[in-house]
Amino acid sequence: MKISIIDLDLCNVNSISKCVEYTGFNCEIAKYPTDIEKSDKIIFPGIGSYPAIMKKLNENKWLKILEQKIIKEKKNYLGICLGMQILTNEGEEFNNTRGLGYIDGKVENLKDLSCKFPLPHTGWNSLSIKKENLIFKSIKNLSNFYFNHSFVINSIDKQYIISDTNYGVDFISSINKDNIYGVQFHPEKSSTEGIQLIKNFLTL
Amino acid sequence: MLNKRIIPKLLIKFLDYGTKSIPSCVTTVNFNKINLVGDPISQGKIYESQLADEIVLLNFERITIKKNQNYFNFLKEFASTIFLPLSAGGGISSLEDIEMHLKNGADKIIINTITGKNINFITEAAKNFGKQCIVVAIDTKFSKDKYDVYIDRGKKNLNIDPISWGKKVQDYGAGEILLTDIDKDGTKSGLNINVGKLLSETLEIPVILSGGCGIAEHFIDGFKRTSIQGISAGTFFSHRDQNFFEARSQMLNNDIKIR
Repeated sequence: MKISIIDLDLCNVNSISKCVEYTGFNCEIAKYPTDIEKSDKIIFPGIGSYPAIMKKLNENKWLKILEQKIIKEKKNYLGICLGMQILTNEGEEFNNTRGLGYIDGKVENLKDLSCKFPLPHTGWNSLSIKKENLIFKSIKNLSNFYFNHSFVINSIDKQYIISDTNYGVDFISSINKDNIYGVQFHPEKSSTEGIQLIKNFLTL
Repeated sequence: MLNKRIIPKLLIKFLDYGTKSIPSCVTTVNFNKINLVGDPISQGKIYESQLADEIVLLNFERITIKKNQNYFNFLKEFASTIFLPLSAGGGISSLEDIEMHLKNGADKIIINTITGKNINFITEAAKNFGKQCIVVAIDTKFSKDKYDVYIDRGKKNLNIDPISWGKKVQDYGAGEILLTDIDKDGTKSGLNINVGKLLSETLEIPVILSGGCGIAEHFIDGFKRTSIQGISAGTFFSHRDQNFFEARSQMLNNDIKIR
């Protein structure tokens, strides 16, 4: 099985690749679209800004190959943080940017969802699991994961929401649609439970 | 709901053993006197198993980071061994420095001296790497009748109070504040509750308070009496292994929400 981690040179993919190796799998860093042609599982850890990531994806031939792999070949995809947010139609960070549009929805600032707490939402918060899912195997409801973000996905069809989290307001913390998974938190920074979640994804 | 954060702080100093320069963990008193603690990677692993929420790693040497491959090799090894959020800093003065830190495994970047020299740097950094990634360290010290903000490891006075400075760096794009009372650093005499309270109640971004933790009650004090989101400590955690558990159990007994 070929596991690829997309590296757009915008953030650190070291932690996630070490995390994958820790679970006993091998993975490759994909720097160019051709690198994922034969991938069976794709992980996209996103840190940075929505427009910056979409710009990079648009510049190269990423969009085409991502659609081929994720939509046509139905290969398993795990988007972390921004890697999940870009699955939606649009992001409002800085200026409205079009996303991949694999899942209907948009990205909004927690502040605009009337969150009164300090932002960014940084630290360990619990997942309230909405739907049983293989990705939560051996992970208890209300387990804590590490978050670090101000933006969240919103207006997502309820059937795809598998957990939410409360930070003054309830927001969507993970989603699953067919072969596509997305998490707002950072499993690679969430110690034991995070490693378990990665392992669950890799053994899907 | 979001949990309060307990954040061990590791100061990294390279010590020479024979021909090798080895990264070592140290603690300070009032930013001055240095105590050697030991190997930072095993120390970090211990903190992870003790359920630390995050780790602060400061490059004590602050020598030109660009050419300091030794430091980045260490950072990379640290980040790939310990699966916790990592905030790193010490001597960061350019966007390139930030990029090097992020590429080698840091999740958040702590800046201090550069903010006093060029406050626009905060905006630049936030724009390039996202606001959630930029932590501004505010070091404060009491002199005569008021608190002043210092940069350059407590050497240069900016002649502004920590609250006004906090508001200013927030406006320029800081994502989080690490507030340290230099007079309290390493003294085990308790946190600076007053400044911590005022700053955390004034700002809209998270505030981490540091300097002075000596007993578990200091953590309770910090969380009960202020709106801070986390407490960072070096001396307290590194000098006795059981301190971490004591602090955690006392916090849980006092209904402070932690993971």
